[in-house]
Amino acid sequence: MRWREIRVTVGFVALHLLLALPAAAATALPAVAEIDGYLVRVKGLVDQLPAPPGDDGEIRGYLTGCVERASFLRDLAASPATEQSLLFVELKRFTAFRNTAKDGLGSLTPLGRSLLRAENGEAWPALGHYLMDDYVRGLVIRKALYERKYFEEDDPKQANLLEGWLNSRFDFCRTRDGAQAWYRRDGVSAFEVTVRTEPVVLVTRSTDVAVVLAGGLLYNFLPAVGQDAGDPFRAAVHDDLLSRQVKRVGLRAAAGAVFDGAGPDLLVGAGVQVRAISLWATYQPEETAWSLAVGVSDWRWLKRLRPILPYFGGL
Amino acid sequence: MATLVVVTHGVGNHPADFALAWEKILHAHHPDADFQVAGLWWEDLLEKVAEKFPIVEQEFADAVKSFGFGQLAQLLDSSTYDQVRDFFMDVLVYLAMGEMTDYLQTALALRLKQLLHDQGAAAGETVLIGHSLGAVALPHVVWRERNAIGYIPYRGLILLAPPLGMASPLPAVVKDPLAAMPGVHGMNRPQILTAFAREWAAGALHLLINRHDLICADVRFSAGGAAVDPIPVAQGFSNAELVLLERECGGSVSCFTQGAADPRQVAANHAVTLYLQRPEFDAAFAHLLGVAP
Repeated sequence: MRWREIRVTVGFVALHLLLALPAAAATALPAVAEIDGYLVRVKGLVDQLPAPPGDDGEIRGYLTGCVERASFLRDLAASPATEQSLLFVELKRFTAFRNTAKDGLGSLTPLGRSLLRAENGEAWPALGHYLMDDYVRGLVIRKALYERKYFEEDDPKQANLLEGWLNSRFDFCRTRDGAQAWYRRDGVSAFEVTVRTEPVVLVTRSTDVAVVLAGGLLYNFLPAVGQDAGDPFRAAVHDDLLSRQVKRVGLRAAAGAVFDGAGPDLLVGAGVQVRAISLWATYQPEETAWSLAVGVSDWRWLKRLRPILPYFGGL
Repeated sequence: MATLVVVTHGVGNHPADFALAWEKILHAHHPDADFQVAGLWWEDLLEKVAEKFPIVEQEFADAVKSFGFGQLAQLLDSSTYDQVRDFFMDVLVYLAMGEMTDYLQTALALRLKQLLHDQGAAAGETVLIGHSLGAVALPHVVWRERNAIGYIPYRGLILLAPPLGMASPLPAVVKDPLAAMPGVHGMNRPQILTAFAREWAAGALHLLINRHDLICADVRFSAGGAAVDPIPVAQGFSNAELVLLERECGGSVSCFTQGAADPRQVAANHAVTLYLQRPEFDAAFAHLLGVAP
């Protein structure tokens, strides 16, 4: 193995352990006797298969694979040097192996189906139930992050179907189970695509008003989220300065119409958004004129600002 | 300890105490059985997503019609058509935006776990019943749990009028309900159905389908002397899929016929009260409670 691969592997394992620590620290894990119990049961199931397995080759492969994994897990659990977090990670890997193997099984004989049900419904729960707390913890965190990203921003009701669809299509925007990246928290991506119509007010050269169709790529500053210490079904949200005050920033591009009193003119622009406010550099091709403009991605803000804006019939 | 029966509603306007109506029927049909009923309410979650994407209600109606649902509108009186349209739009909203599908599944899964915790019930002593869109969401939720812990811990699942057989005409845009199961990337419909059916113990999974229920079966209405299927999308399981379910989890599908194949009966043929009073439901429920039907 080359050094680069070794470094990557060690780094990955270290990251995995680091991420698993908080969950493992709070979660009970299977004892050696319980793993032994699973092994005895599954080996007993393997023994029920005919000597040349014939059509039961797939289920034999699945069950013997489970025995191998469980043996490794047992050795880990039996070793006094094993960190709890490592045992937890191995249990999760075992679970993932089983799920993938079960989903990949082809046609089974009635005996094969019966053995699969016995392993799955009678033997495995003794080990699998230890992952329940981690499952609930994952739900709590995932829900809280979704709430922040999609429902607790400054302009929650300005989204549309296209936005929802796009954010589900682009890999870097959508949530991915188990994915690790600098822009993800517990699988939820901080990136968000927006496509919205919104008002823009020119602030140099004129005070004309424009309406634009604007697309943007925003970065949400997501908070750190864990489980509430007193209630496992509630999230404990820890905001930092960026997630509390700035919330989201991004780059945007737009095209629309500016109303200058002589009918609508084409207007294009590029902008920077912070929270629900965008600062635009706009260009009117007809007049070959550049201007700065301010926009709000929430039409309700326009109503709030109207009393102090002369170009909206205010002062 | 009494068995906990968790019931989940489908589309439509459901109050938070919707389970009371279900509970009355269940206790009337099983007066000697020891169980308590709890509602897994998620109307507010659906509304929250609908408000987040308000354009869906206006624009999607036209999109739905463009799939050929105009023919349905001609067959049905307008109020029934509105119900059917609402149903399909909610299904599309649930399935078209993967992030919202995941959000709804996550929030519902969390509510289910909290419900069990609050009731002091073990999953192994809990029977889940879902109707309509709730019969789509519940399999998704339990599959999410299975992916996390490696097995489905619940005693049983009864799906009433499940639109799980529905096939999307544009799967790249809107997923099949089956394909929206979490973590099934790369699996086709038979593989998903096979894996799902195999997870349940014998007699633990039940799907009840009224052949005259437009939501979960390809009903043909009489129009102008010809039998017409007004919805160009397949709603029901194919014969091959029904055979697959029977092979992998014997006795899991019960098909029956109730109500006229009449456009005016669409809502009645889909009603949860119809399903809860069927002998097929009584038998499945009694089996899961461990009592004589």
